[in-house]
Amino acid sequence: MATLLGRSRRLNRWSNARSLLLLSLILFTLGACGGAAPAAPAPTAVPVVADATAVPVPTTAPAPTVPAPTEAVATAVPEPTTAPAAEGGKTATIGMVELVTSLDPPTDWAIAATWIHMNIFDCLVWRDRATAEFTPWLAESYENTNSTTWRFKLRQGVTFHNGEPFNADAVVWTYQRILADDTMITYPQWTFIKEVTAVDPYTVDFVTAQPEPAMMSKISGTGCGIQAPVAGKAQKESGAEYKPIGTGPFAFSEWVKDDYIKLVANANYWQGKPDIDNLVFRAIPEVSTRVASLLAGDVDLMVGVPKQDWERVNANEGTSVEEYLTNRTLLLALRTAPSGGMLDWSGPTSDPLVREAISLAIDRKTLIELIDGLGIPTLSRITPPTLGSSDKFYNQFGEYNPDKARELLAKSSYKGETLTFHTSTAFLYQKEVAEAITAMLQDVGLKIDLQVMDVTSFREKVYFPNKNQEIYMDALGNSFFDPWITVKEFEVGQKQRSGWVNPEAEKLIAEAAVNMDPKARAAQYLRVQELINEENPHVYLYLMKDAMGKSDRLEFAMNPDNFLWMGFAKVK
Amino acid sequence: MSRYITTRIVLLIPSLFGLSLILFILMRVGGDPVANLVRPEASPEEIATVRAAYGFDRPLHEQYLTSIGRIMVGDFGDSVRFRSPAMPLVVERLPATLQLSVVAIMIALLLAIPIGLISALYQNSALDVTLTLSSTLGRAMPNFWLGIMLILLFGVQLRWLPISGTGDWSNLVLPATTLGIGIAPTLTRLLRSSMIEVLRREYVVTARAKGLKERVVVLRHALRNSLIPFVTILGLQVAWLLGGAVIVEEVFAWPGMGRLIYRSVQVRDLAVVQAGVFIFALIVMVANLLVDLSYALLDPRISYRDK
Repeated sequence: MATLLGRSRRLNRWSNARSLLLLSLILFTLGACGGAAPAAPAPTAVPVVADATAVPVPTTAPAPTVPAPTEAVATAVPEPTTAPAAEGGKTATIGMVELVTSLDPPTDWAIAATWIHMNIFDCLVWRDRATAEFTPWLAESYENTNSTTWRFKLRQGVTFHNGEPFNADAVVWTYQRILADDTMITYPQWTFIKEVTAVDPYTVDFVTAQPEPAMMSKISGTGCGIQAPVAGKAQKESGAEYKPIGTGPFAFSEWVKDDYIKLVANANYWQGKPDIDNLVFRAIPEVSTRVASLLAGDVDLMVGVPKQDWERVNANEGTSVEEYLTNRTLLLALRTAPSGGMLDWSGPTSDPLVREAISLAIDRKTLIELIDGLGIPTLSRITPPTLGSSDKFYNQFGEYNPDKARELLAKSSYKGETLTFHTSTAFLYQKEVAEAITAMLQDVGLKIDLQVMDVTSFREKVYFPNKNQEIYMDALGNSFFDPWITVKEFEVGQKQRSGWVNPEAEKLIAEAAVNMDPKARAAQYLRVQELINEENPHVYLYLMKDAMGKSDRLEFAMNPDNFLWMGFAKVK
Repeated sequence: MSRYITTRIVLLIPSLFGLSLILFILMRVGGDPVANLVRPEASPEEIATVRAAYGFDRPLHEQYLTSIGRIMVGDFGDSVRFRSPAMPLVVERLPATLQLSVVAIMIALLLAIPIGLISALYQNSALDVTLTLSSTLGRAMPNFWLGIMLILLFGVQLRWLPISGTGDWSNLVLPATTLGIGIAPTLTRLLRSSMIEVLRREYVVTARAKGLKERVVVLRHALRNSLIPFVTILGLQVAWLLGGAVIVEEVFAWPGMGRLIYRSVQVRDLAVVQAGVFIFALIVMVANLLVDLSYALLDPRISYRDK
């Protein structure tokens, strides 16, 4: 195992070798631009030198009665009222792989960006990630007035960091701004919204193009933060650099690009001032440096502590490692028919017997031992607490039966062709798991050509030309905690990577997408999972675990969606 | 001199065009930039929307010519990652890289000149052998590894120095030392061999015969004449230094250009790579120009005066 760990570490460090090579080529070429030798001869010859429990939800509505605004929105741009970072206050520093590319939520949907945005901006609804239940947040209540209209009653007395009142105009402006600009990176995520209108200063109607059962998931997901409209419009008109102004627990203070982002406690936060006075997100891309920063006390929190560093972090005074479950499922995707960028494909995995044999050949117990127990076996990507998850699939090892796999292969159309197996090195142990699976598949008589590549190459070769061949492996998340996204690639018109055609599954997925009855919808997704397990366009492996390294002075419980919302975190 | 400088600048233009073409081909042959802009679950329609929004749906030659046309008027285009003009992104990180590089060069010089001199003066002695071995070791250690070792020793064990990011001068010590140690051995070895050669020259023998103090002989007569090859190599090391800065900035989370370009190469953000490489090229050119001009200071026989 030590060898595996060492290899894994080396692999992660060199996974971007291609990028380094490209950069080296560029720099080499640069050397050539250096310039010629001077015209005059030199007098001497120049020698040639060679995220554990749910985020606590307030039990009381903290906003006191505040008079309703008499006008929808003030016309002047209020100056920020939040005090700058208090020197000597309680500071918590989070070590990040990278920071945001933009502090404007609709323009950056990366996980790291979401972590930062969600501490500055509040959304209308908060999703309790442990139960997948929704709690009113900036909205006090919501209701479905008809199958396509959602009415939100907004919380009164909430102000943005700059003193602007939060009201219906802020919500309308935030969403209309995205819907009017298809270059916003999160634009495709919001196209299900047809219209957003203010009914009165504290009531907003969202009209969707069709019944939208995942409305609450989507409206509490990435990029949902409500922004200050007056300041936002003024910034847009002046062309000034965007400054994030939300209603969240922390207000923006300072951003040194690629170095750190500093937020300060919002003293007027509607749920009470956070305990942390200064929240600093520091970019430390190299994992060894991040761990060293944690050990040295420069950083209070980091995620993704490599297993080989756990002992060192736990042995260090004042730091410890905590395991947590992610929402990311490692899976094998098997191509079943020509589609996407592989219209002339005809491979062995088009035969259901071969796909079943692949599923039976995989020993999930061994895989989880290989990864030091950092996973929970699953036969579905719909895992608790997501609607439609079931004990029938979750925390199940599934059938491991190599003999039956061999029998199925003997009965199948498989004639010893080579199956191409693509994987990336995006996640810890991914290469080792791919190698173990290759050995398991070879053991039952399949010929496998394993191609391991860095994550960028993987996306470029497998995903977006859709040139995946027989097998690819990836870990896919579900931070929306709604089943729709887990089966999206089996919808009609979305089969560019799987080619899997199953009329029953297609009908169920289409119906579930607009089914407003959660119970019936859950049953539909349950049946879809059964069909996937019967026909194996996907073979699910395990739900991944990760680990955060934490200073003992920080009181913080990881959210099951692994988002670092620090509003209720405390520093000793 | 102005004609010489103008000629050098003019000669840079075709080099930059060639470089831009190589960059464009490498980046586009390397992969599809849209792959890094959409989620894995993105539908063909979403992908098409993003592709069209960034102009990646147009023919490659058209994309290249548009990009070159913009560069000619100083517009390097917008970063697909940051959604903002590329050049300001690079320029705002330039001071950090320059700061790191200048301090690294100073550290390299502080190491290379005394070690090179001592090695040359005590040629083949135990001290020379020890210093030569140390230089070889310094050259052999990869920046990445050396950086991590320095972090573990001075940041984690001794806790004398900050590990990453910016702050005050102390934040510069570890990254600049890592980078400086990378180039010091080459300079040391060069200075040693150059000094050994010069110390055997007749004018040095004459200086000694005249009864000049050894310090004067070494520093005024020998060292000065050894500096032309030394400075030449120092200029050439600038390109190496910038390459090394990419790794060192990554390890020490130093917010410079190198890190920006490295990430931009990873996600095929061509505009930022082009702008960054343009600035790198200018730095290399200016460094080499300064080296060439310094020859006139070091040796009065060299002149760049316009005829």
